[in-house]
Amino acid sequence: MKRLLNCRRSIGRTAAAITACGLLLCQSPVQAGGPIRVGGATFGIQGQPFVWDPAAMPVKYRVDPGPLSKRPDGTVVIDHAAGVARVKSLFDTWQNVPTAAISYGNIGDILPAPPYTGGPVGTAQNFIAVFASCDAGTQSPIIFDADGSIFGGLGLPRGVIGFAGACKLDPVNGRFVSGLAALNGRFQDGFSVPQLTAAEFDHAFAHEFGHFSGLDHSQINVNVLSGQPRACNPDDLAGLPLMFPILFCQARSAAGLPVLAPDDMAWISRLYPVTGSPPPGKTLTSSAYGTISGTVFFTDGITQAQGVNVIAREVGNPRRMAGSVVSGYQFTANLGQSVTCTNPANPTPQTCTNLNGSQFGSRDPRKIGTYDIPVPPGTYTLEVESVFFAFVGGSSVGPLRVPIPNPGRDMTLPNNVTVAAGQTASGNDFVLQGTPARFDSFESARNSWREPLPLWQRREELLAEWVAA
Amino acid sequence: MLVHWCTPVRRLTAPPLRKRFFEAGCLLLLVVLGAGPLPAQRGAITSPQNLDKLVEEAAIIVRGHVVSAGVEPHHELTGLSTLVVTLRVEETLKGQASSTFTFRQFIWDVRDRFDDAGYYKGQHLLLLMIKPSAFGLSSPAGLEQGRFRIVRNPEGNLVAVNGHGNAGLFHELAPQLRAKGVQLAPRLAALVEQPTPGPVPLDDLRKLIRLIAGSK
Repeated sequence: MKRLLNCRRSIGRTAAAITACGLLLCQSPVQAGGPIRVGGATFGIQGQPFVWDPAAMPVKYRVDPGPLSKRPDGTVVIDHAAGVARVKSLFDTWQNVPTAAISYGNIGDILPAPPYTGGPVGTAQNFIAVFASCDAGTQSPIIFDADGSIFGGLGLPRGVIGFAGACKLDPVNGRFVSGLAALNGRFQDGFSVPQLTAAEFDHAFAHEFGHFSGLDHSQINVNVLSGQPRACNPDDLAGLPLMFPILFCQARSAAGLPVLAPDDMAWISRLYPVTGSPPPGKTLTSSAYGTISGTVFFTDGITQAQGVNVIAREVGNPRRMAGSVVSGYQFTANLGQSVTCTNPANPTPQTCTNLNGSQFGSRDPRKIGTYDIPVPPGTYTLEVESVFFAFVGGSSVGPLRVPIPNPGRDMTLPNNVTVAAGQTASGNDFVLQGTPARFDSFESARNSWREPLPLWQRREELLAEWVAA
Repeated sequence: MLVHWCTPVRRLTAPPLRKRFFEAGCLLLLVVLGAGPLPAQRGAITSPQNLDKLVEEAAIIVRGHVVSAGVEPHHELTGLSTLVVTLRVEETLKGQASSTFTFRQFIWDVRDRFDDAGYYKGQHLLLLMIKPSAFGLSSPAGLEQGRFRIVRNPEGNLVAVNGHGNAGLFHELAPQLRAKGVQLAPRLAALVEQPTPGPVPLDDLRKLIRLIAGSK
């Protein structure tokens, strides 16, 4: 309770500091350790992840009518029917999570979008037209670049396997309206260099379809990066999320593992929970997952720390069964500023706050350092670490585009946490050790607030509290 | 968060220890800001490539400082957002470049349009750029893998790190270079054998790139 009071007192100061931090680091719109987009004050639902409309399932997509892969001489390697089946199978990876209420439906070929008139997209010009129709929310296209000529025309290097993401968002209801994915068939033509195995190719696009579905990157078992590519330890690989930012290890399926790691399954279930009476093949999310939550604080125990990766590892199975999220994942990475107004005569939140800030992420300062991790019932250890320094921008994990070093020391909470299905084990707070003091050693953070008592009397009060403690 | 360490503290005189913390925090912030963001294009997935493959794919490799960066529509491909970046060239390691080098890159993610995909004026970069397409579009080889930011390490030496934290940069590089007949000095040989990702000395990276670019 006392911490809560102190927290409230520190809210304004912390918000100001975070604002300055955001301005200095020029953060981009928020990404999160679980969801890829979180609603802001005036865009989406504040603090809530953007998701496809659960009431309008399945997510409807359209597929390129051409082949998925062909050689430079025109020989088709993966024809259209096989490509469609491959896409369906990749979406099924997510759809088949028994505790997730998301489904996908192919509703036909990509619609014409002048100058594209139908048929295989095939060229950069056609791609741009289809891309624009996705931006307009007209359709969610899955584009086959059968021989890499689209990517080549767009000036992308030969190492790009594909890309995916949302096109149009509904700013009122916090929903995805349309999305796009482009698959580079060159990697499957059996001829070009480099090639990927079918398992690696599918691994890459199951990851991309995770983004398409609204998931951000996750960081668990980041130590794999110290090893050799495609040769990761099986235990580390088992816990390594499909949504790990870079394709570094061997494909999970090639190692006999399910495509989705426990963290992937937990987060897709969190975004799309199965509620009410589960349909056949589905299970109530609340019967299979609990939540571990808390807040990460600086050493003062008052100021919340955003951007620290929190991992829950199951006792007895720590490398394989783990979940994670980045602290402050619901909070904005860039508050903007409220010093000037675009329309001072009419000061509203829209005209006088958030100037130049991100439209994404909550403005509730109580969420600056909070975390919650969905996990299967069990007993877990909790640890914090830095987001890997090179996970920047497109590889970023969590709300900050440029990761910060953990301001304190990496640590594990001394007590294990047990969580039951449908329950939340809350209050698992981290007070980071070793962060530089913000105040003189004789001063408390609370003294920065204007209070009725003069400073010397507050010190007396604090001293009494310390003695009592 | 870093700003907490640098926010000027009110009222009371700082003791020397706190001053040192404050200065260290400010220095760290400056290093981080100086290092700057090095985002990949968002939402893309790329095949891991080692330095040999990256250099091989690059048509031009330059080191320099960003003079300008901004998003512009493409003159020919209507409706296409492109990022136009100009560098003041300080060194050309492969290909030919004049004193300034400009490239135009396709970007698809709204966030890249918002922040110029992380390029900004003054940024010190080493870029391994592929040959422009028929539409004049180009990108770093391997996207974020061919885009190295250059910063000073705590010892004051320049180091380079790409958007994968250099993970996999030297994977199987030594045998590939041996096969090409490239002889490495002991220092460079030791460098390419290191499995741990992380920043590498800029001078060493430059030498390696020159050796690879000069080999057949």
